[in-house]
Amino acid sequence: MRIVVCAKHVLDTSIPFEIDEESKGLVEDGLVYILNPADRCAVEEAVRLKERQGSGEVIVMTLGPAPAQEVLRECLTLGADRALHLLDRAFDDSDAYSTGFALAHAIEPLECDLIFCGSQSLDEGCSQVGAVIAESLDLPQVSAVTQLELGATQGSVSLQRKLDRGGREVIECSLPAVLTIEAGINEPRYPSLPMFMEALHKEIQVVDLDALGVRSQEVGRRGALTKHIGLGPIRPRTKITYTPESDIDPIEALRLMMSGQTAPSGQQSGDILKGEPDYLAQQIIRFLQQNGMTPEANV
Amino acid sequence: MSQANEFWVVAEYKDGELQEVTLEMLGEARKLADKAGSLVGAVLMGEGVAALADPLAHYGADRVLLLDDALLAQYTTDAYTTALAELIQEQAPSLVLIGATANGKDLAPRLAARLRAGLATNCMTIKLGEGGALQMTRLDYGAQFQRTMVCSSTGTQLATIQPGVIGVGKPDTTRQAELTTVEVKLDPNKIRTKALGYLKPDPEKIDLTEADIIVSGGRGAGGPDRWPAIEELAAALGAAVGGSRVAMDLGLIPWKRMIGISGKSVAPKLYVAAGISGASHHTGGIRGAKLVIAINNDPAAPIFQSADLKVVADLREVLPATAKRLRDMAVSDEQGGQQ
Repeated sequence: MRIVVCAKHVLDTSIPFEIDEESKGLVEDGLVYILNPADRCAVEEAVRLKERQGSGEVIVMTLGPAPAQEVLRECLTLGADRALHLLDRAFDDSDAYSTGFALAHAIEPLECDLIFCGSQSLDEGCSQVGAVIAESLDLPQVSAVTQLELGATQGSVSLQRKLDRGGREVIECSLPAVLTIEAGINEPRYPSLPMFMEALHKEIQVVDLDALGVRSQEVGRRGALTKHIGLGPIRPRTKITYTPESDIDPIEALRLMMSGQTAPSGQQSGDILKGEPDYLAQQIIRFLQQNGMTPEANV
Repeated sequence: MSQANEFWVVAEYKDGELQEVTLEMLGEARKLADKAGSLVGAVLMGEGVAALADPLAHYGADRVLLLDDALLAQYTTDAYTTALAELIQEQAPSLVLIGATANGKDLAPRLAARLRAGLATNCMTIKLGEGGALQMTRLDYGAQFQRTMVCSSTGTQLATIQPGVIGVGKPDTTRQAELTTVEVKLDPNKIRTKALGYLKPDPEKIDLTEADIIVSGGRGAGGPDRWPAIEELAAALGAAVGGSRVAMDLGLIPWKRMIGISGKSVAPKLYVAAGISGASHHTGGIRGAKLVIAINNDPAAPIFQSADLKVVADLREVLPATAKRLRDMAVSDEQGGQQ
């Protein structure tokens, strides 16, 4: 089984950085780049899958400037077999679409069974590249995978995918396929010294525009479908807080606004309940029922 | 009637009710359409969901495009992308909004790639810029900065909207929408993933930020005679258990279950705070909660200021009593179902 993992070198957002007012970009000085955490889990998952099977190959791939090579080296220490670095000035200022397009072209000749991407990058977090690759190669995709097993039948995988509010979907997908791996699917290993030493001798193949076989207008800035026009401090929008009680007396409304509360259910100004435990329990149940929060209402 | 400038919203629903983010997007699309002098379209996909057309109209849709097909009954990337892409190619709306939910985040990039359309994900605001270009704002770099972007592609633009940012507007129940049924031609052999089941979140394991109901305790819930009452109510409600910093310091909850400014910020539908005085360090973490029930034996406890239901009582008595009633209700429901 051959697995391709796409990794990204991302800005470590836990380290403070600043905006350059003129270029509306980041002040490059002192930025720290790391392997994207979700991609690290994707590499780990691929290596574990290979180990379980006893054979196979894990190929890591990145598109980025020269320093991104460090990320590939790190993936090699985690157990990947070889690495491809898509490196060309023509790839500069790629957006999610042109990145995915270029990666898909590099993946196509490898004839792999699975393609892993991290489900979201730490810095921009567009969560698009996996889907672009899948579409370019006309493959099925499953997003935010939290559990992976080889399927009962040959040529399929059995997965769990993250849904909203903690739910999971059990899903079966035919191979080859693109999976975006959720950070936390596994705990990536800590590479040992021998693994480090071994990784030093592994090959990192550089793929430029010619080797990729695409035209320069299809990649990088020219192939991009979106454009950044500004970067600045966060200005939260005013959230609409329509409540069923928005018809209340204006004076009362003002009072609520000035106290910083727009009472969601009008109870906040209500009395404090006191009494026997049983009476109070009854009141709590009534409150739950009024708001559709009793367990039956959830089924 | 020109359709070329329409603003579309892809409706999402659960258990027969529209998701909140769909209502938020309708309000946003309505505002944009009013400014640009165009219409709001809502795309409703599924099987037997025509009844949702009315609420879509109430929240701002001028027309509802209904795609009713058995292959759309459950979300699959292949079926939804194909059905939507064909519709968008045919009608060329200027903007398609999709909620940044689990399914929306899966669908939007695939759809954008198929249409070769620009997509801005997890947006907070959408503004109509000069020349009708849409400017979308999203949080970037670990939500430290906001980034404004535009689509450089011509034709339809796509955006996913972060749920809970816009807010739901006031519905107008007199509004009506024109309902168009769109013919769906899907090939079942081209759907390459198969959903086999849904795993309900386990309240005991679920991350608190994802929990619907949280029962939480603090200093007043400490001690072997009190904490079990918290757990008992949580079990009866199907809730996750959390706590304040004091509860963590007392060893009642692990660090990852601590709620507050220095712990987790949670946004459950219901938050029950028992024996928590309500220091601002704690209440800062529960601002997202829809309903708050506070139970405390001190009527002057600050927690009551942020509570929807305020109960002054000894939690050792009132929590088990409530839990018992909940269990009794569940039992009688089960018996009712068997008859």
